[in-house]
Amino acid sequence: MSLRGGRPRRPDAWSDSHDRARFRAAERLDGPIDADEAAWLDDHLATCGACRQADADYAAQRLELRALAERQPVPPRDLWARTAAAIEQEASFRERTGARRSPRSLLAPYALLSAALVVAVVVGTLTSSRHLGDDTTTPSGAGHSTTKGDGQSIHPPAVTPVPIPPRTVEWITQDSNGEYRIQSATVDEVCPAEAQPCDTTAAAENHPVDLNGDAKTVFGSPDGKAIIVVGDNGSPQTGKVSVLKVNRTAVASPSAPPSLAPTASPLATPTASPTPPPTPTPTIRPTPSPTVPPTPTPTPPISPTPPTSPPASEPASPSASVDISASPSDDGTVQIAHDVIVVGQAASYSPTGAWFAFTARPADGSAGPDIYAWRVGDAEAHPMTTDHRSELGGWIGDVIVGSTAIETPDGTQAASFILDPATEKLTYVPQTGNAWRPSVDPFGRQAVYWAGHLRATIDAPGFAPQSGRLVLGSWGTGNSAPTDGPFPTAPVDQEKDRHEVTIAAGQMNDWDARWEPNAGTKLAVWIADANDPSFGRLSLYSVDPFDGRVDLKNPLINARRAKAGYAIAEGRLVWAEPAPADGSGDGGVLMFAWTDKGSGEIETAPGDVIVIR
Amino acid sequence: MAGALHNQYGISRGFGGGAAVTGAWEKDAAAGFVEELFAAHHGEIYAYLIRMLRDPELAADLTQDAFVKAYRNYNVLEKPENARAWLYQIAHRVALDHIRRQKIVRFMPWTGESHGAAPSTERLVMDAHLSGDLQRALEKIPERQRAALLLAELHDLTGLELASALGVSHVAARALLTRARESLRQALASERAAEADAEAQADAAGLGMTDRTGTGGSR
Repeated sequence: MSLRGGRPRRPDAWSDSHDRARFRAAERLDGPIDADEAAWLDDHLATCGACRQADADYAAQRLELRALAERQPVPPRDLWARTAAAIEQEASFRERTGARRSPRSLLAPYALLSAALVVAVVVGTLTSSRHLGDDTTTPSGAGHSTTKGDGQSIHPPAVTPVPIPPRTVEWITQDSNGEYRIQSATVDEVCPAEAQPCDTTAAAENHPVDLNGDAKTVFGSPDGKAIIVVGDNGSPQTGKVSVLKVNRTAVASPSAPPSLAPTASPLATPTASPTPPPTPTPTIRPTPSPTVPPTPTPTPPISPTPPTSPPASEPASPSASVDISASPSDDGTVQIAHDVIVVGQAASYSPTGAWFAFTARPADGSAGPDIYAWRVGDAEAHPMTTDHRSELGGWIGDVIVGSTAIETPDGTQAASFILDPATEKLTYVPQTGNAWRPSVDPFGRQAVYWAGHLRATIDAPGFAPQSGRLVLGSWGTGNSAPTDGPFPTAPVDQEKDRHEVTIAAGQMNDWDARWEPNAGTKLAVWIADANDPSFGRLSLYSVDPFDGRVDLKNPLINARRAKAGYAIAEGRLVWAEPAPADGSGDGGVLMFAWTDKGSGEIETAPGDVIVIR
Repeated sequence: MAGALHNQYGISRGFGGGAAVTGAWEKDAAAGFVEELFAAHHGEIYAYLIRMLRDPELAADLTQDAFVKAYRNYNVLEKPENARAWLYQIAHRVALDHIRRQKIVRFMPWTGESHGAAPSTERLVMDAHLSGDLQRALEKIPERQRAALLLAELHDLTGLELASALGVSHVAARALLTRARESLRQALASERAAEADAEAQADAAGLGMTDRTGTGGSR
């Protein structure tokens, strides 16, 4: 290589002559330098041993570098198949959105309408009874890459789609009038995992829904009759959690202009919706054994503790609490909490659909986070903790699994607990060790949690991981002796005792780990980007149904770019792929589905999407 | 080379008679263009990315990303003869974007290996290719300098190609390369001094030579 024409640096600009000599010697390797500088360099090298050595070093390292080129790494054999599949996927997006438009203009129709596109997919909890349309186009396998390593064809033979039980995909768009509309399509086959995702068809149904403000996140109820909207009213200081009944009778053509009318009928009051009976008898594995020998010091006792009692590490602050009073609006929407900030990604319905829990803190910053639970049909959500240091991890049956930040001589760590929202009983499970925000599998065998230290957040009261690891570990079988308080009685080698396997390490903002409901044969883990926690990477792993071992080496979905909030349900995972940062394309909704016959992927509508879980 | 490239990417694909690719985006033309580009250059792009990132799977993923980006944007390439440098430019940006993200949060691949487990076969093979004090020294210099050295010395880019790939002027590319040589010299000296110390300590302890080849897990 030769680089010519570089403007010579002024000779008097160097801090010393040796610096100048080394720079010129290195520069001369890449082409001629100014004649005067070359003469000066030669003179200097003749009298300076160190600079001569540097000159020789440059030449030697060049030879060494070029020797590396002889050891050319060999690309994976399937690199072309993967690339061709990705290109074909890109092509399918372009075909749908218009190939001649620039990537930034893929959403031009929406931009022209000055409308923000908000897509919310309601898939994870839909049942077959909720299939809204049969107008499903068979995904095309044409052009999908199925060959591996041939490196030749970009248009390999068509793939055979994998049939799946019909599943409805729903999303919400916001039109130019600011009105939200639910759209949906039914999916009954996907393309094999080794090919690229199939494309879905246009929406089969389209009807308005009044979200009563800005929708930040939307959760679909298991019975399909309601959605829970986490909104911020345009300001993060005035957040709310609202329950809306979904009216699915106002069906319109997908191409029809959005109706300016509000939702077809006022929503029924929440008490009118069917309420699954509370299940106060959870079947949870890690429940402390009643035969646990009490230890002399810890308090409170291991016997169920009233949830209103804060963990021992932090006295309650009665003056700081979230206003959760019900505020029915004219259209029947019920705010189960308002003036709150929902914290983290763990909010979810219980597996039975009887409860919805979330972590929230007052929007005015007067207190830290607590866990709230809303029983379907109630007028408001209730605080399950009041220590302002607790966050939701997930559910086991209808029992909440949470954790609270505790101060130890070694810094701020976590103690986890289980909490029955029906009986309002809180029980510490210190034998689970230092586990923050544990997400436990349906059988209570293992959990994904943060093992390490926590830090107080700066921008608002609360806690976040500081140093440590996000791990998969045993949940109910720790070797540490159970105690009747939140603190382990003796130091333990938690990593060894709990067979912890690291998922990610280092400081992180947020994550979201969820298990496939009921069967528990899949585990999805999303880790937020440190810069923007609304984006992250999503992976999906298989779990052996017999021994619960997670297939760590063969992820079904491996660190795919995904926006915060995904849905995992029996047989499917749905997530929102963000638009590339460079504006070279748009995002979209993807679904990975599996059956005992195979697995595969399918794309839904492109756009800036938020997936409901 | 330029003529070959011109024929390879321009005339055979009918990009305006080879004068310029810039223009309307056409699916078939883009696919054909990238297909040929991949056949000609995927090996060196993968090699560049694996040398930059030292992660075979990641390098494969980013190679794929680079070619997809080329597919998306093939119509902005002004001169077909610049396709190789343009492709390196895309790969370079993809690599730097990744490195930038990794500096903030370090994701550990969930391989199922417990702490202290033996490295994977894939890792061992890669280390055999890339091991040694030179590679370690390369890792210690700034990414842009490392990229400049790799592109210039291992991937044999011309001065103009290097400037194009790095997205800087010709003068800036040369200055960057010059600084990179000095940075590498210092890093290499430091690496070799540390290696000598380690060997001396091992000799003193009667343990013989320390394995610094990269395949013995000494790092």
